[in-house]
Amino acid sequence: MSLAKTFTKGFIRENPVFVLLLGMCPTLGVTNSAVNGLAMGLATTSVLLGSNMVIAAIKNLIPDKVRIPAYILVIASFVTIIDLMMSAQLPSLHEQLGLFIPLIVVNCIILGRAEAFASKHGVFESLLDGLGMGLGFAMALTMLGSVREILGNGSLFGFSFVGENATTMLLFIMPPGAFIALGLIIASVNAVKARSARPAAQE
Amino acid sequence: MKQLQSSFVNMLLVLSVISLISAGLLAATFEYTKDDIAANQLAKQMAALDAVLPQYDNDLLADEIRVDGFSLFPAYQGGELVGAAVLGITEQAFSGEMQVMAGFSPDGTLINSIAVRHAETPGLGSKVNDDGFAGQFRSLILEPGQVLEVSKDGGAIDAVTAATISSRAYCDAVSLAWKSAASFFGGAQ
Repeated sequence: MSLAKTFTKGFIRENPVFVLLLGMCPTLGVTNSAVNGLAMGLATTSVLLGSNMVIAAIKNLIPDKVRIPAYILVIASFVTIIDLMMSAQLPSLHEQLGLFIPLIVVNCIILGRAEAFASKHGVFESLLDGLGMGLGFAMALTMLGSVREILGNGSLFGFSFVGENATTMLLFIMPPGAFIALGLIIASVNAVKARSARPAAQE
Repeated sequence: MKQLQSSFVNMLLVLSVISLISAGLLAATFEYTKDDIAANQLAKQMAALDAVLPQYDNDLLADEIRVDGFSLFPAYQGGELVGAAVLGITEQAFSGEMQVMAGFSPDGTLINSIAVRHAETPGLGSKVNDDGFAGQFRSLILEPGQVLEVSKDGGAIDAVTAATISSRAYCDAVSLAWKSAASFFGGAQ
């Protein structure tokens, strides 16, 4: 696989949220606004970047039978560092994302990339993979957050474009709205992918 | 380099080394961030206190006392008691607990109140801090023992649309805070 493909596959072709359907807990949980989605996506990206590189670097030193606990140790350390850093530097954002930051530890994408990619490839490729997958995840969460915020709250990134007492579709910022919005986005992504995969069939 | 064999010694050694490095990194990060985190929490608490109290010149945090299990911060200006802020905590919220900082003057006026910590639904319950709801509490004159209620329960407070439970919790927290403040003012006189 070429380096460019290693980087870009996370955006559409193997997008963690829309195609692989990994990491659904933070995806559905925090995306009630675009800012929350973006912040959660970037926090996950930094963890993924760090864990992928470290695991790729030490993969030969880890005995096969204890690789999962070893990966989890590396991942948990990165998550806790990010958690503390955010709490110190971005307290208001940290408060909103709350419980979901520590939960990055058990996000399937991170362990999934460690097991499926970083444990078999070099440091630089794993860096590209982590960055691509992380940014694809962040993009997906921001999209989902935007849709839910626009429909549910009449605003985007906190900028309101409806009146003070306008009626918005509150459903979309509640948990059921997460499922509905995600379903609609996945359907659209699938439709776009199907169309581009066989352009001749559309004739 | 060849993969290390999964022998007992190897596994023990590798996991121990990784744990040690992790522990060291985390300790360093904790040391590096702990002052900022403490400062953030302090700044947040002071901002809430400043928002609900009249001008004061004492060290609020040093004068903190516990009344009925709640933190009460008496405010003095030139040695005279000008008010008290109470952090009312209720378990009646929609999700988790809600903490409301409420400031009272000694004559029983609720100066202002602000939810400093809550886990309500963003866009719904979180609107308890909007002026349309929280503004109703400003400058209310309370009798000792008075309990605030939303209009659905026969009270005078209009609940946030679609967030009656959060609104009730806010009223409950303010009422609890007022109970502590009233007993503090009663004892001080």
